[in-house]
Parts: sequence; structure tokens; C-alpha cells
Amino acid sequence: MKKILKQLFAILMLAAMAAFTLAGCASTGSGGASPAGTSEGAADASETGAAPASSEEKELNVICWSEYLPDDVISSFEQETGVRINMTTYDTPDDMLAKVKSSAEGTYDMLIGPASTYVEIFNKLGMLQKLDKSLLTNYKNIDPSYLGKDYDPDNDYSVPYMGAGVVIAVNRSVIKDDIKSYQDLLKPAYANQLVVIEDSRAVVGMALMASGYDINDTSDAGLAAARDYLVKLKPNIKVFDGASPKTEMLNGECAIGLIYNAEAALAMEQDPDIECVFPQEGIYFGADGMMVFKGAKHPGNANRFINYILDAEVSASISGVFPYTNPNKAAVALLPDSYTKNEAKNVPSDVIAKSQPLKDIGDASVKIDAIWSDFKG
Amino acid sequence: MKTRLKIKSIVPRLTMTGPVAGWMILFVVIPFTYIFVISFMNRGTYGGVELGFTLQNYANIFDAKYLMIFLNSILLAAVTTALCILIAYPFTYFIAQKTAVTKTVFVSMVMIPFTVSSLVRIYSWINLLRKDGIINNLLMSLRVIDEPLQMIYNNFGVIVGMVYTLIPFMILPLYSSIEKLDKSMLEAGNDLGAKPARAFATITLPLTAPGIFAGAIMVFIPTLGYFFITDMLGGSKIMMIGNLIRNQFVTAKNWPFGAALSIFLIVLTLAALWVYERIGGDLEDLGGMR
Repeated sequence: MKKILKQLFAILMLAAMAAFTLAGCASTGSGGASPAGTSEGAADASETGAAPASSEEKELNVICWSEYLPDDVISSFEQETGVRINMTTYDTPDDMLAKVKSSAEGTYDMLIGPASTYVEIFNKLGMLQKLDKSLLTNYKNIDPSYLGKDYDPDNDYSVPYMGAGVVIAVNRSVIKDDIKSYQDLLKPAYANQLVVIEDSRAVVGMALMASGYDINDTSDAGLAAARDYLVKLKPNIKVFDGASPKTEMLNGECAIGLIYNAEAALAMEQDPDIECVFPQEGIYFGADGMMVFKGAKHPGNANRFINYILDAEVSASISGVFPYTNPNKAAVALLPDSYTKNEAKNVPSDVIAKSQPLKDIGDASVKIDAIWSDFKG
Repeated sequence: MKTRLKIKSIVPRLTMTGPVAGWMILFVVIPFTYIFVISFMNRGTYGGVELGFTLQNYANIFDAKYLMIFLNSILLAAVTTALCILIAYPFTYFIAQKTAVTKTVFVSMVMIPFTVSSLVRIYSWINLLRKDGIINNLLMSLRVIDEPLQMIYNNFGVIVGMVYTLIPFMILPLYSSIEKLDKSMLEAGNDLGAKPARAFATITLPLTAPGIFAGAIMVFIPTLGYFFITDMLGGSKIMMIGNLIRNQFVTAKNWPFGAALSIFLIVLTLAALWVYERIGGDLEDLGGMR
């Protein structure tokens, strides 16, 4: 009798363990039930005309740069539509590609990331779906100079989110001499003074521009020159930080930054000694785009969220928090002079005209990866 | 009757070993096999792998620049281990002499920080060590130094972070071996005229050596792989084997090479364990089983 009881107990334990394991899998699979207060959300949504399709879960999985999409925008969209947004952030495009490629299709619904390279890359990999233009009623707000680029002639796959450039930020209380170009950064006097973003294509691209080549050059001569430049730059770099490089500028750790323009702008607001320099070789400037992945589970929500971001007031509020160059002309009209007249925030059009965007370079990207790995390691 | 017997013996065994076996298959065997298999494949341009068979990934490991990184990592891990021994041994010896209550208090002081995420603890080190951080401000206001010390984004910062994070792994094995130390041996030595230094060198140290070895191995091996500490306190520019592997999967988009490096690291770990056993270490002290 005792033995039978023991066996019974053993079987029960086994069953319980199996049940727990399966339950664990199931709950991660469905990603939780729809949030509470759905009916309320739907009521709000119908007022704003952004009611999500009934066939879709009230959820949206977004992968976006860190420090790029304000929490307020996310929560107000959630309140208006009842759609819950799950954010995944990345600090470097390489990170993003690794995350997206190593996840199952449908893990992420949409991407906010470098358009000029990744529209092509993801299209080559067959990972994007066309945007639903019928839902993008705010598309007309976008400045036409940002549209119809050769990587996406009809903007079937991407719409611009923000324009971002990489500038040189200089703390004038530490660095007295004039910095005008990438070449000036090589001075031995600046040893251990630089904070640099972690974007491999952008940094190697700047090394190419510094050496007089095109940012997308993949010739052996060009890459050798870029490698030379980086070898000389290395002793001056104190830290790589792709997430929030302004921190190192503000806490006095670094006096020079090769950083994103909005990071520079935010640092300048807190420390008037910090100045923004556009190097004379031209800057790297590219629009980040919003794209929807093929196999997305919530494509309707994704398109609705894109349209929400394209709304003039929403877009203006994004620029208020993360002051990148706004391609949304209706939003720019709403923004105060402190934004439009600030060159670090609203990069002047003549600088943009001289800037270079990155393009997908296909198999040659292996060479850039090799240079970058050597440079950092 | 025969089948009944079989069930009788299978069910309890399955209950006891099933969950562990399931866990091991899911989280050790399958990932390991996956890593091993892709380490022989070709890279895809944008990450991922392309089918095929090549030994090139293993050949690439023996490039001078990667060997330098291995050498640097081993050096850094050795320094970390040595510092851990130097700090942990006196501390552990000290608490082992105390009453049970005091011991518990000290051991829990070592253990409690474990309940906080190590990322958060490393962030607090950034605040302590940076140029306008707490330590520099304190030293400057006390006029000990005129210029802020450079304690972060270099090897110093990385070693501080590693020693801080891994020292409990040194203290715990040391504690168990020092506690087991037979006091009567020391008394006998004393009676026979050994001075404290001599008694320490000939009695205490040899008897606690298994604890030192076990602690050393438990500090040395993780140091090679803790890439987040080198990233955060080394400014993403100090490369350890862990960072190198991570970078192959992310920035270099060369998964097969990253996989080959992982296999190489496993071999290196096994070699360290082999050395450990050869010099008289017992795998049971590491919590493993023979």
C-alpha cells in the first residue's frame, strides 16, 4: 500500500512538473492577454478614428534606437488606442540586425532604424512588407526632400522618422584650439579625450571622409586609408558609447565627442561650454525610417502607430525630447525658434546638402566589419 | 509481473533525474550542439550561417591579433584571481575565528549583494570611479590629490569590477576549507616551537590550499567570459575573450567564427580544470561530481 502511494506521488509530481513547464512556455508564447480596460480604449480610439482592426491583438512590438522614442508618445498612443507597445531598444545598428535576425519571424512588428542601409538589407533578406498607405493619412506632412530616395523610390517600405547626423561636440572649457575637421581629431594632445558612438558603418564612413573618400567607398585604397585614420584616432578615444554619449561629455570624462546631433544638442543645453562643429569634410547624415516587418503579427497597429508618429503635434513633441532634425514640415512649423534656429538640433540645409548618407554595400560590409573589429579590439 | 517491476523502477528514476536531464538537454546539450555545428559553417553576409563545411573558423583563431586578446584576457584573469586571493584569504581567516553569530553576519554580508542585479552594482561603480565621481571628489576635497585619478575606462576599472563581482566565489570555498582547519595541529606546532609565520607556511597554508585552488578556478574562468564588466567599466574598448565572442555575433556578424571561439573557450576551461586536478585540486570542491 505504501509503495503504491509512493508511486502515485511520484507520478503526480511528474505531471505537476510537466504542467508547470508547459504553462511557462504557453504564457511566453501568447505574450499575455489583452490589457485591462480594453473597451474604454476602444471607445477613445473610435473618437480619434484610429480604431484597431478587431482581428488583431491589441499589441505592438517595436524595435527602436535607445533614446529616440519618448515614453510619453508611447503611453499616449496606448491610451488612445488601447494597444500595448512592447519596446526593444538597441544602441548600434549591428545590435539591431543581430536581434532581428536571431529572432523568429513575427517577433518584431516594426523597426525604427537607419533607412538608407537597412531598407535595402532587409529587402534583400525578404524581411519587409509594404506600408499600408491608406492608413498613413499624415504622410503628406513629410518634407518631400526626404522622400523618394533611391533605396526606396516610392517609399513603399519606409517613411522617415527623424534625420540624424554625427557631429563633433567640443567642450570649449577644456579644448581651446580650433577643431574644424575630422583630421583635427588626430592631434596627440587629445589623448584619451574622445567619446565615440558605436556605429561601425558610420565611424568607418567618417574615417573614409576624413581621408578624402566617399562614405560608401569600398576600394582597397580607401579602406586602407580609413584603417590608417582609425589607428591614429584610437589612442585619443577614451570610451565607446552608442546609447548616451552625452553623459561622458557632461560628467567631464570626455572633452570631445563624435556623437549624434541630438546628443550634442542636449549636452549643449546643460553645459554652455559645449559647442557643436560640423567638420569641413562633410558630416554623416541619414534619415531613420519606420518599417514594418514581413510576418508581423500586428501590421495594422504598426501602420497606425507610424501614422500617429507622423502627426504634426506628436512629431513636434518627439523633437522636443530628442532634438533630432525633423523631416516632418508640419511639425517643424509648430516648433519654437529654440529648435529651428539651433544648428545642432535642426541641422542647416547647406550642411545636409554637403553630407553623405550610407548605402548598403552588400558583401563589402564584411570588410567594414573586419576594420571595425580590429579597430575596437 | 515483470513489466510491473520495470515500471516500479522506472518511475522513481524518471521523477528524480527527469527534470534535471530535461533541463540539461534543453539548456546545455542543444545549445552546445548548435554552437558546435555552426562553428564548421560559412558566415552569411548579414549574420547567420550558410550551409557548408570548413575548418577555416578554427584556423582563424590562431591569428596573432586574436592570440594577443587571449593572452591579455588570461593575464587580466590571473591578476583578478591573485587580488581575490589576497583580499579574501585574510578576511575569511578572520571571520573563521569568530563565534557562530558573527560568522553568519559576515557571510551574509558577502551574500546579500547577490540579491541585487550585478548590472546595477556595476553602474554604481561607475558613479564611484568616474572623473567627477564620489571617490575623486572626496580625495580632491581632502586635498590628497590635485588632479582627478583616472580609474575608469581602463584596465584598473575592469579589474576593480571583476574582483568586486567575483570575490564571493573566492570567499565561499576558502571559508569551508579554513573552517575545517584542525586547530590542534596549530597547537601541536606551537608546542614544538613553530613561530606563527612558520606555522602558517607549513600547516595552515597547505591545509587550506584546496580552498584556494577551488576559489581560484571559480574566479579565473568567469573572468574570461564576463563581457558586460569589460564593456561598462572598460569603455567598450578593452577586449576579453567574452567580448571577442560577443562581437563576432553582433558587430562582425561572423557567427561561425564566434561559435569556433566559444568552443575554443570551452577547451581552455577544460584545460584549466585539468591543470587544477593535476596540481591536486578536487572537482568536488567546485560543487561538481566525479
